[in-house]
Amino acid sequence: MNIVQYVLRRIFLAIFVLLGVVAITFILSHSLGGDPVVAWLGRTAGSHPQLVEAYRIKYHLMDPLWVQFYYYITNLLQGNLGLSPSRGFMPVSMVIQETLPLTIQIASFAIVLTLVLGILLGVLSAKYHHKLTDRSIRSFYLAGISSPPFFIAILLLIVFTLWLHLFPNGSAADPSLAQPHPITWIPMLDSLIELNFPYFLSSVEHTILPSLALALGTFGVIVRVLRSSMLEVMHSNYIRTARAKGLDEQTVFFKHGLRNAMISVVTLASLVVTWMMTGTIFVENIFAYPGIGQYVFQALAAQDYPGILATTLVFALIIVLANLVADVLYAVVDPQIRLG
Amino acid sequence: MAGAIIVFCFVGTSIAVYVSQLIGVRITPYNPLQENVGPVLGAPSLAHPFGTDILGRDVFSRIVYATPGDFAVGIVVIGCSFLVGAVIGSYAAFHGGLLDEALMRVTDIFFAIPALVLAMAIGLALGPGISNMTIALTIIWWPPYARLARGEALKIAHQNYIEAARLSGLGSLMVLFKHVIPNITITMLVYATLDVGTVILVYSGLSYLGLAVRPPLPDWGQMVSQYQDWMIAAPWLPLIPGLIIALGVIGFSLLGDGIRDALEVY
Repeated sequence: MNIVQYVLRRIFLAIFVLLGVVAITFILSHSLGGDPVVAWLGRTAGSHPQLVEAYRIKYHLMDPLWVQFYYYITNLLQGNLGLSPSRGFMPVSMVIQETLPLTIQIASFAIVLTLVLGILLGVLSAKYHHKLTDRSIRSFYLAGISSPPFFIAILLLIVFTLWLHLFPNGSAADPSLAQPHPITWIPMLDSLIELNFPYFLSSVEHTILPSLALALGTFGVIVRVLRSSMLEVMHSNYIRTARAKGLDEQTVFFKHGLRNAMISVVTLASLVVTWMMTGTIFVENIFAYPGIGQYVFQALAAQDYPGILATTLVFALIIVLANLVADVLYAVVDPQIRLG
Repeated sequence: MAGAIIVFCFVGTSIAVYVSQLIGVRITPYNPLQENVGPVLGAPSLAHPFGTDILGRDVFSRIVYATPGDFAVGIVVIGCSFLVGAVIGSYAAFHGGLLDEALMRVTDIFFAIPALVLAMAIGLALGPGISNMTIALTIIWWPPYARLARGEALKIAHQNYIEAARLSGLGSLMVLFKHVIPNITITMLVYATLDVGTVILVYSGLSYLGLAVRPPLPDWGQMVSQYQDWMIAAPWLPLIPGLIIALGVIGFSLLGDGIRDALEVY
């Protein structure tokens, strides 16, 4: 199987998974409040009879289920995700357009932090395994992955914002600064393109604590997997060969050991992304950061069904894409997969 | 070892609370629901080891009384997922074909949605409450078990004792229940022990979001979300229940690691 076939097969599977997710949200939308209109308009639907009537016609709710499913999918493809009662009946797609880029900001910072912490501590842990360094790293990451994200976030907020006054709290950047124009839709990048440095610095400042809270809960999975795969790799024959050639231990460890052990880290991509997306719901709420996680939290509190169903789809889409990227990367770094 | 001790403490507390509720005795110094047993937002002291909340309720008693709920959810969700996963997974492995393919694709779909988000959506459909959350979590939790059972069953499918059982005329369901499932149980049990902590973690998230236990009844996650409003005046209030959740999760994680090392299944 060559790489193109492999990638095509992965894309086909990804589309299939997305269809499955859509089917699940479709089923849920028909079981929420007993009426799909409620799922499109929220619990307050009953107080807007003309809207309800319009929706019944628009979404063909009198037709058989499979016809409705067809219209459900066409609507999703056109970006019509319903109206969000928790945001004054604003279209959900617009809410997502506003909030998702902010979450991408903290999530990308968090992913970088997770990788740096995870790889660094994983390598240290493997190099000094069963020594004090290894044991203290193990306690540190165990505490991290075992703590609920809201606990880590509150701890960081109390220590760094309330006690030490090192970081600001609330919103994605200082609201008194001029907003950059949407070019890439990601404010941090836009401000950099427009050379709006005060806004850029402020948004970085507002990003550090939330992304640290996300990273502290996630880096442990990378340490755990990297450590054990590193220990396994270091016992393999090609490491013995490398040592027998007379290579120094440093080269053997990093060039031959780490490079091969890193392959197993790629498989963690979907796990890491899933944890991050889940974490944003709590972390953004605690830091009052107006991303998609905070939207989920508010939608849940207001029983905003369209918001919940749409964000479920967005989260699934992000995870499926992350998986796809990881699968392709995996094939690139490990020839056994693409040839095998 | 440490893991076993922590889990033992939590399980012991759960049983003690459960029994005490059955026979109507109180095992904590104060009634967890009674207000004004101490000062408003009192700091931790000898009388109130974890302090008191805004209504003057004893936080220690509330945490103790919340223990059985969290553990019951963890054990029930894992138990049900284990059973469903073992039967479906090993059945699919032995019969292969369309069923096997279908199982793999269905589990793929479940893996694409974060457990907490799907539980949230299902929770909205079913309504909040501890039993509805248990149902929602079980719906989401069984696919990895089915995958694991399938993989393990495929490993032993061509062992001689399975062939022997077949040749001796046992029906395929009997082979499955008498020979296959017992033999894949150990590996799955290790995974399950490690997983109880994860369920408690996700459940505490649902509880934080207000989908599980209704106030005034206490629950760890819900206590964190209620007490975070006073994090300036009383920072220990949201931190202590959060720490207890982490401790429970660490306990199961260490216990699972210990069992795995002892059995050397991996």
